[in-house]
Amino acid sequence: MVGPPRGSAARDRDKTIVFALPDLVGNFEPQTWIGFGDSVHVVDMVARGLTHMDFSDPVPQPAVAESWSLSPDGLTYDFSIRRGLTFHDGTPVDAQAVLRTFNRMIDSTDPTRPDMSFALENLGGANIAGFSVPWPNTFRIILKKPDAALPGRLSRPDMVIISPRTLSEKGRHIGPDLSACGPYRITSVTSNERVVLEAFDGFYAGRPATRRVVMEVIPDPLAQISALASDQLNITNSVPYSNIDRLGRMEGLRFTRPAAFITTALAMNCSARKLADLRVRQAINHGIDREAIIADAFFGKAELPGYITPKSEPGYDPSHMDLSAFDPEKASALLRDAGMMGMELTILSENNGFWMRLGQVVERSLRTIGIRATVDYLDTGTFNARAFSRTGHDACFLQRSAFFPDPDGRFSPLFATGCTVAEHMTAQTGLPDQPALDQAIAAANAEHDPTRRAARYVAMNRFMAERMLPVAAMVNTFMPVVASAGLRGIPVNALGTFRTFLEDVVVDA
Amino acid sequence: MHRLTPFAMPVVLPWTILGLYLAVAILAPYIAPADPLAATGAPLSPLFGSSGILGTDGFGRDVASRLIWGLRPMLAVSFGAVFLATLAGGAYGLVAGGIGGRTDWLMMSVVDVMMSIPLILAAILVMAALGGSVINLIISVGISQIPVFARLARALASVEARKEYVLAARAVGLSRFHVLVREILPNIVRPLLVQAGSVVATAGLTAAALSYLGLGVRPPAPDIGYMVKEGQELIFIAPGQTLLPGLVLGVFALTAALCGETIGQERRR
Repeated sequence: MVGPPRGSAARDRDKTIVFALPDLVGNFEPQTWIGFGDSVHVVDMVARGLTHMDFSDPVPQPAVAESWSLSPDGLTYDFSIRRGLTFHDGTPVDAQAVLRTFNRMIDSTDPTRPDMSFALENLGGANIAGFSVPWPNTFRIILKKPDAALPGRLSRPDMVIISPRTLSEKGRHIGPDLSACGPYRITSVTSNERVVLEAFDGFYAGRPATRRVVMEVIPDPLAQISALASDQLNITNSVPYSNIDRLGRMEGLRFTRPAAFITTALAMNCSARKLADLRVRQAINHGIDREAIIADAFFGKAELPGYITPKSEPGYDPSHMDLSAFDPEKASALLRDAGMMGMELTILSENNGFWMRLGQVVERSLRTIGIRATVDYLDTGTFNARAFSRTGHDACFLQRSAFFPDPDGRFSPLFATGCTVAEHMTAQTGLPDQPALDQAIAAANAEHDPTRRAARYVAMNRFMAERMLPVAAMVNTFMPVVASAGLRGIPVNALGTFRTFLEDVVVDA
Repeated sequence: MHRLTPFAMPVVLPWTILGLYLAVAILAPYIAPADPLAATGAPLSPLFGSSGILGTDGFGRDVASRLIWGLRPMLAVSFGAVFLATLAGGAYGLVAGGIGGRTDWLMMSVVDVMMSIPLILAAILVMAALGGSVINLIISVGISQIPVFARLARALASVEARKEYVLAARAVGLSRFHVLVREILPNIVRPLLVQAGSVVATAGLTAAALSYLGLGVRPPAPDIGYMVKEGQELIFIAPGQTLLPGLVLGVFALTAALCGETIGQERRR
């Protein structure tokens, strides 16, 4: 089913949008994507999953699947695949192709299965009982426990459908040769320079409005600013926060504030003796001056959090604001009660981006309540090695973006038993309330009514902050999206949280 | 007509500037107008404003005070690292060149391997392993400079070792240690010191580069290299935030290099 050109601007088909990439390794294997960087932008432009979420609301939309149904027991999802679609290489998109993409997540004997894939974990891990094609053009996912967030999870960049021909020819080494059924197809890749994308006529939602997108590597944020100012670049979401206001005032450029889907937090190692007492963790939580972080580290481009669910997702409640309130007197009292006044605390931080500014604010504010905090600034590799080791740190900074706007996008990967963060970074699985939390997460995922489900997350946010607190939410923020004023239809919220859907962007004449 | 070259410059000028840097660093507690860690005004106050002669940084801290205090780690690392490298590299090269033979070959092979790693990369590796502090910076930058001194000392020592006075010392039965330390070492010290003078600037720049990469002195402690980094993203908004520390660093590097040249010039006379 191929639609007409998108938008009303057929004239835009001859135009080009230039998007800035911070770097480009040239490996677009979706299932080994584990974080930020170059590949997610390209994967989002080239490939799509069974569902799509554009971050304007929390409801998954049909994508490669035109509809889906759920069995009464909540354990079987049937996805009806759109008819008439093809991949960029001409191979038909059907349920068997979808099955092949998903089987490589779960089948350890599949020769196309990539090494170091977290895709299965991101889909539901041990909760996935299996995949099948019960009828032609129907793809089935069978679960062990109900999961209301599953349709949302399928919109993640590591859940996109890959052409079977690509898998046959490239196996586990897709590299730059990703063929999928997204709005754009790759026409050329120059490692560390650029990726050129061409609009795909067979995209399920119709041909994209702009014919060509060039994803240009401009690693230096200051060079991005110059490129924006000189019209060599049309869109970026990686300029420094300090420059946003100035850029927004420049003629020909526009900054639109996205919803704050990115949570910046302090993860505390509950297995460290000094942090084993909840009162100490609460003292740290109330000892962090969030207003100062917003002013000094984010130049005003962030907002106060409730707890872990941001304002832009279901499960947030205004009453949560007290959970992360800066209250130095309360913090000092808690610390005194715990007999830990004057304790030393080493916090790990990455030594790039805004982290070093953030670290200085946190160190300063914790010292005012009686914690002798020091921040160790490390390169990313060393940081990850120590942060994901129970013995490697007391506390570390953590950033969580919403890869799909559902509250479980934070709860399961950060707090559930078995997940890497809960097991190794915060070691919260040893806390007495962890079984109750696991039950609450399971209950929330079994709830399909959106209102009741949101209410469960409201309660879970409070439960986490008051009873467990392995993570102190610091601020919610976004990637700053700055674009040429002549562009319309920019998916600001998605770009503000690392998702790149430019198919509706229209270039004004 | 005289060509204006660094060698033609008055010797006194670079030494005066270097002395000034040292004096300012030593007297920092007395001459810094404010606490370099405390906010004294609104963030990014302009130069020559009410919040200090050089304004304030993004945290409202006095830039002049941070520059003054920032000289301390820069100079400590520059001189400390060169001292360490001269001592360790000199001793290593002295032993290799003085003993000669297979020992020389083996020891210099290790140095060749070290030389094959770019100095800044070696320093980054050491800093990543040790963590950020002035002492670790001295060790890191010092280690990265050891091969330079080891090669020079070895070349000088191997020449000296073949001279008659050394052969005579050996012939009368003096110990190897005595020959190395009492006979050869005094004759290679001066070239090593000349080399040390010329490496101070390199050491200072390497230390600043490490701080710029986030591997140097731990913020919020004032540090010139980190100030360049922190101010860089503000260059379109408050250019002084990166240009001032850059200027301080640049003048130091130039001055230290010229001082090194004057030592060499003196020796050549």
